[in-house]
Amino acid sequence: MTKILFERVKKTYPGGHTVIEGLDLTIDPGSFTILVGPSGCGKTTLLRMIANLETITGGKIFIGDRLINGLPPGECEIAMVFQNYAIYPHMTVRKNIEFGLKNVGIPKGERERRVASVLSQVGLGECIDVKPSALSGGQRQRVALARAISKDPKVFLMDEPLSNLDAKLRSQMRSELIELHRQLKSTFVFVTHDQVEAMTMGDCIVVMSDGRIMQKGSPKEVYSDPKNLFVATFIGDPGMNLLKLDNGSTAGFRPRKTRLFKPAAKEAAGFAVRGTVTVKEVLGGDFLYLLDTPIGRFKVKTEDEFDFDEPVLMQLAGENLYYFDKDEQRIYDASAIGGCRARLAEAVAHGR
Amino acid sequence: MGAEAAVARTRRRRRGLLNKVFGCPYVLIAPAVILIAVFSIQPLFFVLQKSFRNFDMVQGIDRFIGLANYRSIFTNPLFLQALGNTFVYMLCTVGFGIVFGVLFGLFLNKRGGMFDLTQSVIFTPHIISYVSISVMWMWVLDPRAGMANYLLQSLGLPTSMWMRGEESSLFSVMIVALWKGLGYTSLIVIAGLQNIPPYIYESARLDRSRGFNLLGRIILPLLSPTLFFLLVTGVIGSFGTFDIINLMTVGGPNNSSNLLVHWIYQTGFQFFRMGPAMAASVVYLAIIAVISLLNFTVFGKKVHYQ
Repeated sequence: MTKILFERVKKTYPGGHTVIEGLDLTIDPGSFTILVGPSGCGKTTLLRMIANLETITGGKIFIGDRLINGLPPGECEIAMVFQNYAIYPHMTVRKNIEFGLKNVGIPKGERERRVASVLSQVGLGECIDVKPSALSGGQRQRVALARAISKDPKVFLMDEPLSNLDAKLRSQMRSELIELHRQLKSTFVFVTHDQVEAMTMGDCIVVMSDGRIMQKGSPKEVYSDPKNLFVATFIGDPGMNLLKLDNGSTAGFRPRKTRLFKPAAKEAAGFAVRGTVTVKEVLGGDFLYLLDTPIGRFKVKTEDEFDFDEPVLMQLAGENLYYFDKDEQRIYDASAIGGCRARLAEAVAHGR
Repeated sequence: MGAEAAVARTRRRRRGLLNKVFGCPYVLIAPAVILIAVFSIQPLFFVLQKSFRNFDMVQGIDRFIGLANYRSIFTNPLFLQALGNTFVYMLCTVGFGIVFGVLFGLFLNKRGGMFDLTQSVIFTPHIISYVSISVMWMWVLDPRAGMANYLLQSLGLPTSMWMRGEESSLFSVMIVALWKGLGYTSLIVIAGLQNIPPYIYESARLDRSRGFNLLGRIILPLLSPTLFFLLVTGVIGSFGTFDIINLMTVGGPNNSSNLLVHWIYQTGFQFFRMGPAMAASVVYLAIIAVISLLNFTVFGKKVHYQ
C-alpha cells in the first residue's frame, strides 16, 4: 500500500496557461481516492502527472518515498486504465497483457502465469487469443484492467474508465472495481466527472475546481458537510438549492432534505414556503420537482407525488440548512449562523 | 380545380419519369463507364489483339503471326535489359522510398513552426514538373561542371559520370526519383502516424516501449495500411516511369538506364515496330497484375486495419 504526496505541484502548459497552481495533496495508502470535478478542473492533468505523462512544471510528487519528477513513464510503478481503454488493436488479448511484462524482462513462464491469472480474475479466460475488434466495450475495458493488474503496480490510475460504457455495464463495472480494490488492497486513484460514481465508489473524495482542491473527505463528509458553495452545488444529485440573503451570504438546502406538503397541511417547525410545481421528473421510486416560489425556484426530491401546477408547501428544517459567506465559504460560527437564520426568516416571511 | 389537378398530376408523372431515368444508378455511372471503356478497356483489347499480329500502320500490314512478337521481345537483349532495369528501379525506389519516407515522417511528425515549414519544403519537389526537375538535376549531375562532382572532389572522393556513364546512369535516375517522391511519401506517412491515437503512444510509454521496440511493435503495425498503400501505388507507379527517363537519359547511354515503358515507346513510336511494342505492353500489364496480386495476397494479410 503506497501513499502519493503532492507538494506545491504546478502545471503550466506551453503558451503560459497554468491549470494547477501550488497544489498540496496526500492520497492515503490503500485508499480508493476519487478526483472529481467539472471538465477542465485539472483532475485528469493531476492524474497524468502521477504517471509522468504530463511534465511537472513545479513542485514535487512522491509515490511512497520515491520522487517521481522527471522519471520516464513506466518507471513510476503505476498502472493506468484509460477512458478509451488504449489496448493495442493489432495484438491479441494475450499479447496486449504480455507486451509490457516482456519489456521489463519478466520470463516467459511467469508472463504466462500472470496472463492466465488476471484474465481469470476479470472473467475473460476464453478470449485470450482474440483481437480487440472482436470484443465488446465492456470486455475491452476488462482487458485494460487485466493489463493493469498484471503489472502488480503500487498504484492504479484510472482516467474515467467507465465513461464509454452504457449505464447498466457502468453500474456492474463499478461494483467490480470496488471488489477489485478490496482484493488487491492497492492505492487506487480514479478520475471522474460523475459525482454519483464518486460518491458510490470512493472512500476518499477530492473535489476540484479550476486546478484547486475545494474539499477532501469521505463521501459522507463532502455531502453532509460541504466547506464551500462549489462543493455544496457540485456534490448531490441535484446539487444544493441556494438562496441569496440580503447581507451577501447564501443559504442552502438539499433537495433531498426538503419536504413537500399539501397547502392545507399544518406547517411544521422550520421555514415553510408556498410554491407551485412547474416541472416534474419521474425517477423511478422518487420524483424531482422544480418549484416556483416567491423567494426563488428550488428543486425538491421526494417519494410523494404531486401534479403539475399543483400548489404545495415547501418545508425547510433548521438542521438541514447551510450558510455560506460572501467568499462562498461555509459559516460555522454560531452567532453568524443566527444572523443568517434571521435574514432567512425575513425573506420567507416577506415572500409569503 | 379540375385543370389544376390535371396539371399537378402531369407534373408528378414527369418528375417520376425523370427520377426513374436519372435516379437509376446505371444512368448515373454511365459517363464514367463510357470514358473507361473508350480510353482504357477498348485500347487494352486492341493492344492484346494486335500483339499477336504483324501490325505496321505505315506500310498498312495487319497479319496474324501468333506468338512471334513475344518470342522476338524475349530474345531481344535490349528488352530484357530494360525489363531488368525496371525491376531494379522498382525495388530501389519503392524500397528506399518507403524507408526514407518513414524516417522523415517520424522525424517531422511534430507540431511547430520549423517542422511545418520543413514539411512544406520537402513536399515542394512533388509538385514541380519533371521538366524543371530534370533540367535542374542534369546541371547538378553534369560530370564536368555539376555541383555533385564538385562536392565529391572537395571531400576527396572519386567523381562519377552520373547520367553519362553506363554503370551510373540508372543510379542517377533513381536518386532524382527518390528525391522527387520523398515529400509525398513522408506526408502520407505523417498522415498515417497522426491516425494512430495519442493514447496508444501513452499506453506504450507506460509499457516501457521506446525506440526500436516502439517502432517495430507498435508504430509500424499500426502504420501498415499506409505502408501497404505506398507499396501498391509505388510499384505500379515505378513500373510506369517514363518522364524522367525520356527527359534525362533517353534510356542511355547504351540502353543502360532504359525502363520498360520507355522501351515500349521507343520501339513503337520511334522505330515503328508496333507488334513487339504491343507484346511488351501486354507483358507489362501481366507483370503489374501478378505483382499486385502478390502484394495483396502476401503483404495484404499482414496489414492491420483499425
